[in-house]
Amino acid sequence: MNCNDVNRFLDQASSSSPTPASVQGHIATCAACQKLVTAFQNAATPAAPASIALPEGLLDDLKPVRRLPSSPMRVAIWLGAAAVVTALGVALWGLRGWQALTGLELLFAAGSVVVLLFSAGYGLAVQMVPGAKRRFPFFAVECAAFLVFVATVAVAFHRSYSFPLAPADRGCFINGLITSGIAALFVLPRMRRGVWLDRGAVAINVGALVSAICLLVFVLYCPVINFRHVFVAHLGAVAVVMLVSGMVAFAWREQ
Amino acid sequence: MSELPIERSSEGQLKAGDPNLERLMAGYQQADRASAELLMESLSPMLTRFFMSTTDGRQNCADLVQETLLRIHRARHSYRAPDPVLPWVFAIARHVRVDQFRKRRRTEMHEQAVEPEVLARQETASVSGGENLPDFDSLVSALPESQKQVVTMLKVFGMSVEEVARATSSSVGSVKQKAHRAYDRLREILQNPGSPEKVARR
Repeated sequence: MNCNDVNRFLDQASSSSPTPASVQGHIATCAACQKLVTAFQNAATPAAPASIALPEGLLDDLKPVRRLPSSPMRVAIWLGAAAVVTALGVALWGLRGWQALTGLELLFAAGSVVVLLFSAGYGLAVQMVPGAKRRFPFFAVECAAFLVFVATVAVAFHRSYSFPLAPADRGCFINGLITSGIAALFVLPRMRRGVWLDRGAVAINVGALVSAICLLVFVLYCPVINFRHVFVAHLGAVAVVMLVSGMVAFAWREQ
Repeated sequence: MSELPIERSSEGQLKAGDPNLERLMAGYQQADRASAELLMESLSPMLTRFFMSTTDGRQNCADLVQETLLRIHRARHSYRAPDPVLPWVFAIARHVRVDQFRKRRRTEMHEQAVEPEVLARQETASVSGGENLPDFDSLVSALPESQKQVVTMLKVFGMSVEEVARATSSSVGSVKQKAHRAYDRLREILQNPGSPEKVARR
């Protein structure tokens, strides 16, 4: 038993929990640990703080509230919005992109976008409840999924075309902005019931969700398998979305 | 409205892990005024203690507690039973403090400092003097803000590491790391009681 073991004991112990014999043995020989444990045992003693009056009229008009849904249902709220926008995109522009990709390209390109979509949806579901349990670091997963998508495009999207790509670039860029706008229209009203504490992070995550929806629609409809086109048109539209969400994050946070 | 039978501990305080907090919160969501009042009454001392343990929260503690109670009221639909109440409450309290800090920083940017040396001296006296502070609070006052929050939640409110991780939106590993660094630093301070600032700077 050493001081690190006492640290591990202190992680678990409340002031009223009994001290195990092994810890007691170390404390008897280590003055620093002895003082620390004693200080913590006295910590829970109420400090007799002044009583604070409730904000005036706070409980005057108390009404029953409808609780937020469970965690899986909250994720479904965001994925539902994504499904509706993707269905709209497919109805408008078809599935030629999906048909043009090989199995491996589909696995990495579409797979990474779906992971990005799920983690952004999960992130928003967690962020809408204060103190909600985070089962995985969704921001890190979002970044990793986006990097996998970019790497897949850089490595595998090398087909050349006999026609000029500039009109296709313009068309996809504008379609990307339209898709993002429609996605925002579906996503933003769903934010009404959440309790958004870290508003900057929330705005970035909304941007990530909208970007993921936009990328999914691109993967499904755009048949141009060329990295320059994807970087300029598809990721250009996503860059605009992320720039806007970054600006909203800054403004909302400083409010 | 159904009345909830609430049991209180011998000291009259409700603590982390106390099922009463969850029951009171459920009653509050169902518009039971007695539950709401009792919950607020139980949370006020905890929130006061929490804000008193932060350097910038001490000066306007009452305002911060009131603002937190107001936000708890507005956000009460987002609590889900049987989850523990305290991580939910302290997640809100932490952000009230952060928002207050940002607001004050913005205000201070537009204000001209009046006799900064005198104000700085008063500030130092109120922070390090600590005559009115309980022992534990003056002990942890030498810790960085994030470590202070973790140790206060663990040791004053009796929250588990998992609950602290939820309240601070971080991982269990990160909470343990902060707590262990805080324990090590507190050991040094307790060994050298004369110079906590010197130890804290290390």
